Amino acid sequence: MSLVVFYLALRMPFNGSLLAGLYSPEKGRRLQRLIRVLLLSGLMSSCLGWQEERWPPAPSPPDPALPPPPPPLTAPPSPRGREGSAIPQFPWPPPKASAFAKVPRAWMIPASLSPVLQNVADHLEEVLGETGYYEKSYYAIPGGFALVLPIEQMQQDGTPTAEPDRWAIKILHPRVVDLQSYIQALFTAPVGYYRVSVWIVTDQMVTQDPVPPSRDEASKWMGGGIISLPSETGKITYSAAHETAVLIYEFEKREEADPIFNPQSRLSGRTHLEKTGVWGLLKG
Amino acid sequence: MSGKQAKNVLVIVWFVGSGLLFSVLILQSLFRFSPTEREAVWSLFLPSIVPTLTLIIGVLVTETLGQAQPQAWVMGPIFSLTLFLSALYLVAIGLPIFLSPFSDETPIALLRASQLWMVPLQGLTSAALGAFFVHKPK
Repeated sequence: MSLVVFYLALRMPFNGSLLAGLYSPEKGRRLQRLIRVLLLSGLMSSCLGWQEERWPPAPSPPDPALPPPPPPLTAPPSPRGREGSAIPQFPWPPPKASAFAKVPRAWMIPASLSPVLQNVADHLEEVLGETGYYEKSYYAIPGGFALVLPIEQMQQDGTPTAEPDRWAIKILHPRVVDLQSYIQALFTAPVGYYRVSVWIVTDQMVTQDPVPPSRDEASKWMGGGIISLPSETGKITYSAAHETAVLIYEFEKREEADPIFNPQSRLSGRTHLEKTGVWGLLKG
Repeated sequence: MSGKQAKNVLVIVWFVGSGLLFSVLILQSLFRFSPTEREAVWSLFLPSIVPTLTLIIGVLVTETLGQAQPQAWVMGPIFSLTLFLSALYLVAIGLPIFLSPFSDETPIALLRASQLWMVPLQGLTSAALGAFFVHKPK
């Protein structure tokens, strides 16, 4: 558009011939000059406006008459990672879980190892790896760390769905093998049961926020953390005050419907861990 | 075959076929579909069945009331074509419903996909049925 205006402004004759029929030659020349100036100035102002839109506005200086803005209500500052960057902070207190379980302290670290959080994390990673959880995401929490496992699909009794469907987000349709399973599949909606497990190792009191997460939020936890425990956090002593808890976030999804958070799982947190095999491996 | 017999055959095909589909969809609406799904499925299903049933019922009622004379004889090929298209059409409507347990797609997605071939098929079937039921012998 600007180019068209620019072209018209340049191509406009100087002798006032465009307005020859309406005004006298002198008046026509003046009017045409005026129109040209207006077109070019409009073009320049639109270009400047475009520049202003493209560039972010400069921050305005704070008004001394106004009180300083209150500090944001967030968790304490995160520790620094290996490269000095801030470690993502897990929501604290954690959102309301469907179920939870407390894991005995002695199970979290072999007696032969020094009691630091790095050894706890290593032991936990080893056990989780044996049960199929190869991807983990670490977050900072006050007094320790949170370890988020990927969202997994499970059966109604908490048993993980066989791989590779275990990590599939799409609802799995039951296999049709006979007339009974066909009729069941025809008249009942397949339901997807999903679970996100969050391991929390901290010396702080663990409470839960009354607001549960959405499945999208819970799914994003996996991608929002870091893949290994920061060295600074790993050096913290796993003291007698430290506790390990698992928060289970359970979701149900029917076809064409939004996933629904299950505020109260039919299974206890311990049953969830037993079904995944983690409880038995930690127990030794 | 007389015109009345031929119409009776088509009426049976249409009412049995659509009745079966209606029954299955009602049960699915009660036990399977969410409110959103119900609305979507019925809004796809009804326009494909109701106009034809309305035409058939309209002709039958008109004939019963004596306002129109039933056709004495029908041409075999026209009846066969209409019967074939009707059966094919009803089967085509039923396919996404009855095959949904074997698919990973939702029933709504299958019904939407079936509209691709249902629209031309519906045109052909409606034309054949209209010619058959509304045709007046000379």
